[in-house]
Amino acid sequence: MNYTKIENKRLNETMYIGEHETGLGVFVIPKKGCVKKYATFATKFGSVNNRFIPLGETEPYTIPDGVAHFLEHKMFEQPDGTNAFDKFALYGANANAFTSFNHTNYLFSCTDNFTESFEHLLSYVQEPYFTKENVDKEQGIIGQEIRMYDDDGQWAVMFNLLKALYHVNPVRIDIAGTVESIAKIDKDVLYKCYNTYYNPSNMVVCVVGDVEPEQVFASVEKVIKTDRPSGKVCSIFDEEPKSVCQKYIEAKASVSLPLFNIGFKDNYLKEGDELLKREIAVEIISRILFGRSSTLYTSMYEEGLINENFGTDNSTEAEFACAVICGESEKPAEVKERIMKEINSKHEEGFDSDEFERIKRAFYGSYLRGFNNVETIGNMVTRYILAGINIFSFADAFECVDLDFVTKVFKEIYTEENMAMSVVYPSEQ
Amino acid sequence: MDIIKKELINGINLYYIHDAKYKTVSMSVFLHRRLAKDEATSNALLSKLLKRGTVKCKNLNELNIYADKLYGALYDVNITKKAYVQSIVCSVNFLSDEYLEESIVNPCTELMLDMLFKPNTGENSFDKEVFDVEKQNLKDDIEGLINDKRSYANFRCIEEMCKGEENSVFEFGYLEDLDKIDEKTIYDHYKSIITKSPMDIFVVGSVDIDSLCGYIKEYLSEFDFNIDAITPADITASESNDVKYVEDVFDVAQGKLAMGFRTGITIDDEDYYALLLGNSIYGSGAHSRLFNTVREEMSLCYYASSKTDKFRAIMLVSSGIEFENYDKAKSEIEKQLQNIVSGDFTDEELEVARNYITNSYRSYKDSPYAMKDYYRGQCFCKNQDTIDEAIVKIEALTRQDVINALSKVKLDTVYFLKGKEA
Repeated sequence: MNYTKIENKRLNETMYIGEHETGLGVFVIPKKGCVKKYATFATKFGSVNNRFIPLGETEPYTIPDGVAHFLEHKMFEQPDGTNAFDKFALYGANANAFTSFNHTNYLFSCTDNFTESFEHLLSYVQEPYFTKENVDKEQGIIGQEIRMYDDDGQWAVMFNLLKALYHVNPVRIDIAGTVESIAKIDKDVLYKCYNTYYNPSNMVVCVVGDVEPEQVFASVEKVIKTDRPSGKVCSIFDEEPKSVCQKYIEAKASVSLPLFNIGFKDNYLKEGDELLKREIAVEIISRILFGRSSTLYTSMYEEGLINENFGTDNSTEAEFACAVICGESEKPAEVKERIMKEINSKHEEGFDSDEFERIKRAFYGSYLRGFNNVETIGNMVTRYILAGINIFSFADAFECVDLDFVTKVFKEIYTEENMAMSVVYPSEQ
Repeated sequence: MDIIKKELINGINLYYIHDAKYKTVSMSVFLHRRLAKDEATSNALLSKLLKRGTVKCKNLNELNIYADKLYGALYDVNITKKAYVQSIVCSVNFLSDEYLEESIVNPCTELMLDMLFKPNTGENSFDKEVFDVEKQNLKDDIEGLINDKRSYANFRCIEEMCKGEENSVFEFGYLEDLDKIDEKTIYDHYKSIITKSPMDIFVVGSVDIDSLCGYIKEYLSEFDFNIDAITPADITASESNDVKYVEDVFDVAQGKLAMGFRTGITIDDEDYYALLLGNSIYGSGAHSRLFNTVREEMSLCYYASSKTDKFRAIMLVSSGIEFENYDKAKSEIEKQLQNIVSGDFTDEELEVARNYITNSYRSYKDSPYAMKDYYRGQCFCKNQDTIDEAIVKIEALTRQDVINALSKVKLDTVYFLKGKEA
């Protein structure tokens, strides 16, 4: 397999990029001195991909809520009746998987037997084995996973916000679906999704740790099948209106303090490097307005209106984007007013350039910090590659994000019309 | 990668774990107190007050702007508990000199030390407004324990199980004690402990350690220390043959089962590693019995796992289940332990568990937090095994060692958090 090598002097990191004949992208970041090795095998199939044209067909196909996550669970089931975890365990590797809104990631970390574990990862994700019995069995396990989240106030306040922000975008649906929706999942649905979204050209492999890149590429050559259908996936999305679906949403849960999420819908969806630039800009804006060193955070904290759990949680993805402020407060409505007041005054006065430079410097520090840990790097690189971004271009994108650009992005996102609020109040105990 | 210990002054040690692979330096100073109910709440409250400002950065805003300028240095003050010790921890995490044009080691070290030694207080009191807010925040933290039902169930199980035991004092403190503290008494408490308590400083990353030690020694020379060592506590638990059953009712969809076992084995006992290995066969990891029976075979839960507490001779099993599956889950959890004790496990299960544990020990070397935590634990026990030594001991264990260790494990308390309709 041919590959290219790129170095980043400022980061002091090197990345090897290869492309398998099936279209599968392979990315290796060697980390000398690390004991742990981390590998991911990911597909661009998440909970938002609920309607698509199956590979080789022509008609759109709609699937029940929660399929991507259900499929993730079922991939561990092997044709010989074993569980994919078993072999990882024999090698001493720690395996797992997760499903997000727009991708599914199969992963493991290990200190020994890397090649064996890596080849097992590549192999088991290519071996779907769905039967009526093993699908039925999983309904109980995932049912309990859903119930666990039912009791999680943080989860509720976040998903309610997405429901409020979006009319039709499937990001408003819980990743795991509901107990009712997963009851509709059968093996045929799973195979159809697998055959479409788990085709190699829709997937990437990423390895981080003290490994030989040539060895990684050799394993990929050896294990990845070349006779499977491959092709561009066609996901179908309804057009999302620009407005928010509802301004305010409220629920109750067994929590000690009211929880709030205040979100701003970003209607300017981007891809590739433009997405990266926008993500950086939103992060800088969040830090200036609501970060630890902001005047708003300081005053609200000093008055006891918010506590240390106040923060921001932004999503900048190709399929959806929103800037979110979250926290706990006895007076969520007052917090919202203060936030809107601060935003409105920034619309009038603009950003201070010294403050902008200071926050940018601090932000660069946190970006570098992300390169301490093989898992953090692996997940970050995987997510970026699936979004069409080369992580090493961060420094260039970062330089491009100037005060004018940040001001433009701020004006596009942080408006009264784009805002919705979700609150979870404590239920009576 | 070795750990270097340097005594800075009598009672204050510095531990340096040199590792150039990190892009950051991670540094913490621990002020240790003997865990005791009568001062636990004050120490917890102090950990909150100390991050509100120093003599140099008078308030939150100045502190945070200062940290931004240090390339987004992260700082924090927390409260932790290990064995019979409650510690106030001031930490700072910053970029290594290698990635910067200027060195920020000294200003970051100063920030960490200032939070502990030079908080912004008045003449003989903390600021009243600051105090009131942080008192409320601590109250919220204690009440907020219920927000995560899984950890709350685990907490309640051990609380009920270890009632009255010396090491069971809760490190966040108690609401009833919080009301007795004001901005003056907390100041007096601070003054009474700041130069009398043992301290450990941990540094992980790559720094000029001699110059750093020189800087810290110089800083400490301003103070007149007179440090008393902490005496270990007796950890013998009250023996009881009856299993205790406890239930709480909440407005929840899923029940949380927590089962507390006495192991009689701490990190200082010879069979500690055998217990760890047995625990992994039993309930730690996707290869374990609990995962494969309670979850995979019976579909009763999403998680079922067990963990051991190396200081308190406790093993805790936890699982999230439907209310009506309580009996089924509980009896399967007990049955699986009995099976292992009676030797009903394969050599493969033994080897898989062994690999799992040695892999996690090796992985500590990639985490500044895990390294600090591992070696800090050794400040309060006789076991001084390095990570590599621990791995060698685990490699040598036999199936009989596992059986012997697990046969000491006895169920003590069963806790169930259930819903209103159950």
